[in-house]
Amino acid sequence: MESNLAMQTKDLDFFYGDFQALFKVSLDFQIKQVTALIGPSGCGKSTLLRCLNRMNDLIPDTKVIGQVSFENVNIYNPEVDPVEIRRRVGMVFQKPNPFPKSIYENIAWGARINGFRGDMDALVETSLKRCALWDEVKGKLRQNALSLSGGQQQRLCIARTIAVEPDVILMDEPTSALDPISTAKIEELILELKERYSIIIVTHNMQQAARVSDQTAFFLNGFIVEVGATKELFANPKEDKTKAYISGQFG
Amino acid sequence: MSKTKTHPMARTHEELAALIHRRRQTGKVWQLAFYGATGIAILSLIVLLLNIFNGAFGFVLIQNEVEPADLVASGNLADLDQAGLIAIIEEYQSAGLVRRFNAEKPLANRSERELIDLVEERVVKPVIIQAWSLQDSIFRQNEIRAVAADSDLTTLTFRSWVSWEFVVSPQNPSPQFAGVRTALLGSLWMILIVMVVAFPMGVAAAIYLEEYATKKTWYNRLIEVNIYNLAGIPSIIYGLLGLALFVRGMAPFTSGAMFDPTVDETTNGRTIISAGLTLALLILPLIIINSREALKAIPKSLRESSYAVGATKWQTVWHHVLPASFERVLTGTILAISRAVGETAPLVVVGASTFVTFDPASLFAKFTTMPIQIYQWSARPQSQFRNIAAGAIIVLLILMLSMNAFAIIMRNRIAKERRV
Repeated sequence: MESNLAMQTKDLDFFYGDFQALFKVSLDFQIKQVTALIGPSGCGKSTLLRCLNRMNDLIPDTKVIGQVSFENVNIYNPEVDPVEIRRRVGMVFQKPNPFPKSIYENIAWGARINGFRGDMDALVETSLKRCALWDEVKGKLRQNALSLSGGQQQRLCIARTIAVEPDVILMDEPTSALDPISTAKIEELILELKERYSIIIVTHNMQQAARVSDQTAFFLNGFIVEVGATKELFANPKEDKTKAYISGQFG
Repeated sequence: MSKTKTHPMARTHEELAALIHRRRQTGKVWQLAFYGATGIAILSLIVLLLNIFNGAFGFVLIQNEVEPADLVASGNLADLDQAGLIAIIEEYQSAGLVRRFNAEKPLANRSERELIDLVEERVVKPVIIQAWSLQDSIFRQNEIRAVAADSDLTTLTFRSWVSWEFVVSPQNPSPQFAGVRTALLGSLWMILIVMVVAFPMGVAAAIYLEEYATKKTWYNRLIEVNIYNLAGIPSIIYGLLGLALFVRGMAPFTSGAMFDPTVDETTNGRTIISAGLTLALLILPLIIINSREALKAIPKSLRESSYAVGATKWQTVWHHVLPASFERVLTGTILAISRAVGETAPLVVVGASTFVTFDPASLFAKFTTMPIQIYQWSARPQSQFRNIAAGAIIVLLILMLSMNAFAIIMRNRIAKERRV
């Protein structure tokens, strides 16, 4: 695996029981870049995302065939601990899901359980600043995180994710539950975060994919239809299906 | 297609109005049924409470063997000092009895209160000749007063069968001196054992079944089906189980002989600990089921957010799932324990004593509990026992209500602290 890859999948098949959701997915994720996964509902893009930090392990009766490489190791090797993978490959979910605890604790908890020994107050502050949330919440760090607005909660979830210093951040439609202004803030944030982290984002919003991502992969029915640089893919799709999808003919 | 064919949804204004009216009528009929059901429930509760209060208060006709006025000029025993009271006891009681009293506790060492009680019980010897219900006391007062006036040497007083005296007095063969102290202590001990045993075990089992057990393995399915069935088993069966397992099988432990060989062997393991363990078993399935429902109600997103920052399963359960479900777990436990407090049948089988006059000294003491005491009193032929049974029911109700209130306040306080 080349050193400029954050992650890589090779011939990845995924099954929910008897239903196959992914077929031979081979995909490279560039380091410190944003990769967008697009496609209609049920095409397997979220499933792939959840394969990348073994979140699918939590769903009973699922099966993975193939490889997901992270730092030259197949994360599905039996000796790999999924807990370790999930710390290094963080995840932001569709619906903001902060812990029902204080804002401070939301950031501090993940760091604490992962053995953080430094200055916790400083970590909370930098994490919140990186997510452009510090100014809004600095006076009420002890308040419950659920008292924040949806957009603030989602930025808090991103701050929580970066507080444990992952290498990769997975985002599963992070703005689909948010209003346009909050969405714009998150998109801005994604562009800043890619300086430090590799980001893989699933989105239904093609404009969003075009705005924030460097590469895009288009999925259909569990297969990759087309992968390429985002500009190229949106300007000159090679496949007819891609063209049809990005021009809004289905999906 | 013919032009006369109308759209299937087409209705004239009148048709639509009639249709809506019919739908509203149906709704009203159901609404009435719901009101009716609630009304019947409230009515039966009121009848139940009235029935209890009817027995717990009312006029009593008391005849004293010796009038207090004959003992002290004012007619009030409290006006006498210790020496005066001892003098009365020695005057009215045989020398043998006085020796026995002294052997129990020297009279000179007894407090004035204790002496007054002794004089009341042994010398004055009030006998309740007749007791009336609250209903009669209110509506047939004239008749009652007439009866009282007819009989000599009697006093008519309005008596509340439930009083502080009633709560702190031990069991006694005569109803006007009997109290629920021993039964109340027995019940409190039992609640303590049930809580200590059933709560942690039930929550732990629920966590295993909900968070760790894979639903596919046959033994987990078997456990699950069995727990649901166990919750429906009649409580007397648990009594039989407790009798075989705790009273007989573990007699050396439950009789306390294991720890203290000099212990009273006659208890045979029919002790508070046996009863507590039996009731703990009885409510274990309830706690497990309630706690599982509570854990199940925690959304997947909370677990995922915890895993996503690199938490282990145990950290996820301990830091997020349990705290978030704690209120519901506690509510389920309160309900289960309330059920244990009211259980009678299994305790009869396990061997609750019906007549205990001394406080339970340890977990390995003979015991009785409030429901047993009520059951036993209400089965007595003398009508006055029904009055004290009604009094005991009120005490039991107050006990349960205050327990539940305490638990709810605690729960709300925990919830509030967590939300900050």
